Amino acid sequence: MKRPSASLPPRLRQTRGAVATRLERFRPRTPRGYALAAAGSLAMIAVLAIGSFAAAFAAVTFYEEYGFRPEADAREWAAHEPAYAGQGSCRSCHAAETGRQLTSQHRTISCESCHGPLAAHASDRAIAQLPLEAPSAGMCARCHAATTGRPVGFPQVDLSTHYRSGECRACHDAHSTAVVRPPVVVHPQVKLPACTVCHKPEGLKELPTGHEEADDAICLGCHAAGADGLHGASR
Amino acid sequence: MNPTMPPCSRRTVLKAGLLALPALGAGRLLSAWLASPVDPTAQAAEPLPEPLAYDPATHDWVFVCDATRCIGCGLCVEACKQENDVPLEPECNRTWVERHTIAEDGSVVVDSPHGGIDGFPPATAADGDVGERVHEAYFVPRLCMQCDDPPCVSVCPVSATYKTEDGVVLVDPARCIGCGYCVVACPYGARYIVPAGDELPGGYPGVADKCTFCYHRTTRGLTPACVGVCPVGAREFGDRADPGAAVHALLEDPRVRVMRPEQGTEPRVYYLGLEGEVS
Repeated sequence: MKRPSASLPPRLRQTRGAVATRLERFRPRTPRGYALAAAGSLAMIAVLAIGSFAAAFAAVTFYEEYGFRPEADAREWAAHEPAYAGQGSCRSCHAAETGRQLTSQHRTISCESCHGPLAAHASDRAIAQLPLEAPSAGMCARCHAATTGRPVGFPQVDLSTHYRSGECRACHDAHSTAVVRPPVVVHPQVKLPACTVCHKPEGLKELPTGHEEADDAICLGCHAAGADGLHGASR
Repeated sequence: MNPTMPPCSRRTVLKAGLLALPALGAGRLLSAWLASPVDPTAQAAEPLPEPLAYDPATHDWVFVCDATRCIGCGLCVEACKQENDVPLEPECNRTWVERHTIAEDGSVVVDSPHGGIDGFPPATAADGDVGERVHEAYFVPRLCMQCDDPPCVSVCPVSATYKTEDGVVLVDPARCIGCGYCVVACPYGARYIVPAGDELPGGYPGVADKCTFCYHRTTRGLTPACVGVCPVGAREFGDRADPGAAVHALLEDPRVRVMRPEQGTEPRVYYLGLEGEVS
């Protein structure tokens, strides 16, 4: 039988010989030497085992953090805390406001639409800081200012002509949507000139409190009515 | 070779490399062990508490926007930003509202100032062009379509974005590398990259973000924030897997459309009152 090394190329055969010569130096020659060699081998195996374990641990922790883990990530998205409590959380304490609101045209609107996110307040009443205690005129205008694109039939007002358009809540209740109508006054005169000919600070009659000098169209927007002798009918 | 240099053979390099491998592993182990008591990210590795016994396989979420009802108040845009800590930059929106104004000559003007977060001006932005000759105008609520065949998932090179069993497309911010392919691939412009300095609830600037159908609310049985605050019911949300859900009646409406159906994305967001030119 041919020895396997005979088939090796001369360069490799040379290398093999060199390795064998080098290893010969480490061959134990005494019983103590054998014991040392055994202990050394065991120590090397232990180091390799610990090293492999550490490398595997590092790989696993890296994979847990950055690996493909859609289920775990979906659970993390689901674990965020809601900011908006949702409808129904307000009723138990704020019965007066919700009672007026629930029978009004505004009944489809959530409290948090105008008052802001209140999940923290709903879960702990000590957190009483409302983001918006009294909605401003801007809040009303967001929905009710006449704007291109709004559905026909949705209640809109032209802010440039609407009376006291910056103080909506002087006449309108945001919860019940009830409107305080101006008084209906029967005018004693017929064939009237423009309203502000008489009704202005230096005129025959002072402007009522809170009123501003305005065009007839604005005055009559509230004070004109019917054919029973009111301003509008008498002119 | 420089004779003063120590001999650096292939063998010594290989030897050093073999020795370094377990040393590196041991170092990682040691650092992980040292860091574990104080590192807050280590706690995230623990199983998170379930919001409720939520099984995504039993749900099939759909969303219906009614353009004939939307009044363009922008409360939905504001609520979305508050609910989800969306960056306040005008170009960063998980949801936004557009106004489509069609002139009598058929030209279309679309405006959406700051995504509509503060509502809309009384006249269109292109008043001079459209002005008195407005033929038709309406508002279109926009959000991620949560496509059943999402292009964003197809293009993501690291599988950071994925589809859940209940039909919602989510982004794993820890895995996202912020390459922006998904932002380009989305036919609806529904994604953005979180600007540097801004933080998501998870705390990852520079990654892609988008509407999640308020996943933390829907899994608790709440509606998405934008649906809850809409004063006119222009946004409806429901579970197609629930036979009693109100969305079934809406979906049977013959006017129901999806946006850009030719893209084959199979959106989960449906529209009522949408004209053909909207995309």
